[in-house]
Amino acid sequence: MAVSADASVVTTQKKLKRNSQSREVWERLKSRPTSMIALFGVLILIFVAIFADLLIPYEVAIRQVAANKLLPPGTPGHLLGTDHFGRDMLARIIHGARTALLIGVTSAGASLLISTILACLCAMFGGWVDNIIMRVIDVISCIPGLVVALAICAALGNGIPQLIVALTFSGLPMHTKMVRSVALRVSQMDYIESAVALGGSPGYIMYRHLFPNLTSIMIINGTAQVSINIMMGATLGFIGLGIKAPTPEWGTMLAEGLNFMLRNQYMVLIPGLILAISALLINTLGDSLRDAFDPQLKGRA
Amino acid sequence: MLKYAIKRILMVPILLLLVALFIFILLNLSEADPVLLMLPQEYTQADYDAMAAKFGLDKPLIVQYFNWVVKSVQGDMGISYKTKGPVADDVVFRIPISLKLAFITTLIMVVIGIPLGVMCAVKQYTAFDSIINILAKFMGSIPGFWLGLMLLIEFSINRRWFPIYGIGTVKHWVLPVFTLLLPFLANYVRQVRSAMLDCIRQDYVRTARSKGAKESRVIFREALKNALLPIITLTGGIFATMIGGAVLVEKVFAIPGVGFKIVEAINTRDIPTLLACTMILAVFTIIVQLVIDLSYALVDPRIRGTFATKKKSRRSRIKKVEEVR
Repeated sequence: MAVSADASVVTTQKKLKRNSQSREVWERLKSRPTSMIALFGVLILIFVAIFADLLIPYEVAIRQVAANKLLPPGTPGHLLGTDHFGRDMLARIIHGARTALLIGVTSAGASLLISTILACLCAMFGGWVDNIIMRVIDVISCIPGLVVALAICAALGNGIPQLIVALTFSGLPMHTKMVRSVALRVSQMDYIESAVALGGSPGYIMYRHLFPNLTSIMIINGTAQVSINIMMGATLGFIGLGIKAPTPEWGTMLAEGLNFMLRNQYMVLIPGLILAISALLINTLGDSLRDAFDPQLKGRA
Repeated sequence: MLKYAIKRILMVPILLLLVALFIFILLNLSEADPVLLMLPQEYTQADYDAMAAKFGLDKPLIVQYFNWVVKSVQGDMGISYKTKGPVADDVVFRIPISLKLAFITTLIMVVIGIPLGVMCAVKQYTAFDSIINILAKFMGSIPGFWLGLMLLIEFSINRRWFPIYGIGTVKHWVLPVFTLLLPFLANYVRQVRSAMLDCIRQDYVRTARSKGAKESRVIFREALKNALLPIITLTGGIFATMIGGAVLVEKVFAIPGVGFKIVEAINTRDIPTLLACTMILAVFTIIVQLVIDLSYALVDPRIRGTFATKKKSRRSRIKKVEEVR
C-alpha cells in the first residue's frame, strides 16, 4: 500500500516536472515576437510541404507545355511564371518544398539519432570504445562535409534515398563531437553514478537517464541541421548530383535556370529566394529554441 | 610540450592514410565500372583486360590502395580516367589558386569581423548590436552559390562592372571573394562577440576598470588580448573550411581551383582526380588544425599543463608536500 502510494507520488511529481519544463520553454518562446514569427513561418512551410498535392496537383509541376516557355512572373495562370519546358514555377516551388523538407528532416533526424547513440556509447563506456569512435570521427572530419556528401552522391548515384544517406553522413562528425561533450558532462552527474551503483544496465541508464538529458541539445542542433541539410541538398542538386530530372527540387531548378540566365533571370532568382527564406525561418526558430531551452545562453552565439 | 608536439605531428601521416582509405572505399562503392566508362562502345575482352591493367584496376581493392599510397608518396597521383594524363599535372597548379581565394577572404574577414565583433560585445543589447545580429542571421541563411549567381547577374551581366569568369585581374576576384566572405563573416562576427563577452565578464577586467584604466585600454589590452586565443582557433578553422567550402564559389565563377576540379571530376566519374583533390583538401585541413593545436599549446599554459606527464607531476607534488613538512 505504502509502496504504491509512493510510486503514485513519484509519477505525479514526474508529470508535474515534465509539464512545467516544456511549458516553461513554451512560455519563453511565446514571449518573443521573432520566435513566434519564425515558428509560424516554419509551420506554413511544413503545411505547404505536407498538403502540396491539395494546393496544386503534382501533375502541374511536371507537365510540359511548349507554348508557355519562359513566361515572366505575374502571367495569368502562372503566378511565378514558367520555366524552359513551360512548367509552372509556383507548382514546382511548392512541390520542391516537399522534397526539400523530406530530405532535410529525415537526414537531420537520422544523423542526430546515430550521433546521439554514438555519443552515449562514448560517454557510458569510455576507454577504447570512446577512443575508436572518436578516431573514426576524426578521420571523417578531416574532409569538408560538402566533399563527403559529394563523394557519397557520386558513388551511390542520383535519387532521394542516396541524397539522404549522403547528408546524414556529412552531418555525423560535428554532431557526434557536440553531443558527446554534453553526454560526457551528464555522465559525470551524481544520478548516473547512483544508477550505476544500483545496478542499472548500461542500456537502461542510457535510455532512462542519459538520453532525456540530451533532448534539448538534440532539438537545438536538429533544427539547425535541417536548414544546413536543405541548403546542402540544394547545393548537390545544383551541381547535378541531387535528384533525378522531373522531380521538382530547388537546387536543380537553380541549375536549370543558369542556362537561361540571359533571357529569364527569374528562374534563378525565385528558387534561391525561397531557399534563403526557408533557411532564415528555420535558423531563427533554432536560435529561439536555444534561447528558450537555455535562458543563460541568451543572445550568445 | 615537446612530447605533445611530436605525438601530434606523428599522428598526421596516420590520419592521412586513414582518410585516403576512407575516400578510397567510398569512391569504389559505385557500381559503375570505370573500365567500361573509358572503353569505346565496341570492345573485346582483351581490350578490357588491357585497360584494367593499365590503370591497375585488375587488382583487388586493398592492393590498389597500397599501390596508390606508395605512388602518391613519390608524387605520382595516378592517371586521370578523363584526360589519360598524370593527375598531378592537372591538379598541382590549382592549389595556389584555391589557397589565394581562401587567404584573401580570411584576411578581409579578420579585418572587418574582429572590430565589428568587439563593437557588438562592448555595446551589448544596444541597437547596433541587434542590427549586426539580425544582419548576421540574414547573411548566414543565404545559400552561397545563389548569392554568387545573383551578384554575377546583377554586376557582371546587367551592369558589366566585373568580368563573368576567369582569374586574371583584381576585378576578377571581387565577386568571388565577396560571395565566399559573406556567409562566413556572419558567423565570425557572432563568434568574436561571444568570445569577447566571455572575457569582458572576467575578474581581471573588473580589476582593470577599478584601477581606473582607460576604457580603450581595458577593452583592447585586457579583454581582447585574452579573447584572441579562441578567435585565432576560429579563424584557422574557417580558413581550412574555406579551402574546401569554396567548391561552389569556384564553380559559379569558373575559377580553376581545386574545388572546380572536384565538381568536374565527379561529373565525369574521374576517380583518381577526385581522390587527389579530396586528399589535398584533407591535407590542408589537417595541417591547419595541427598548427592551431600546437600554437594554442604554446601560448596557453593551461593546455600545456594537461599534457605534462601525470606521474612526474604527482611525484613532484608529493615531494613538495614532504618538503613543506
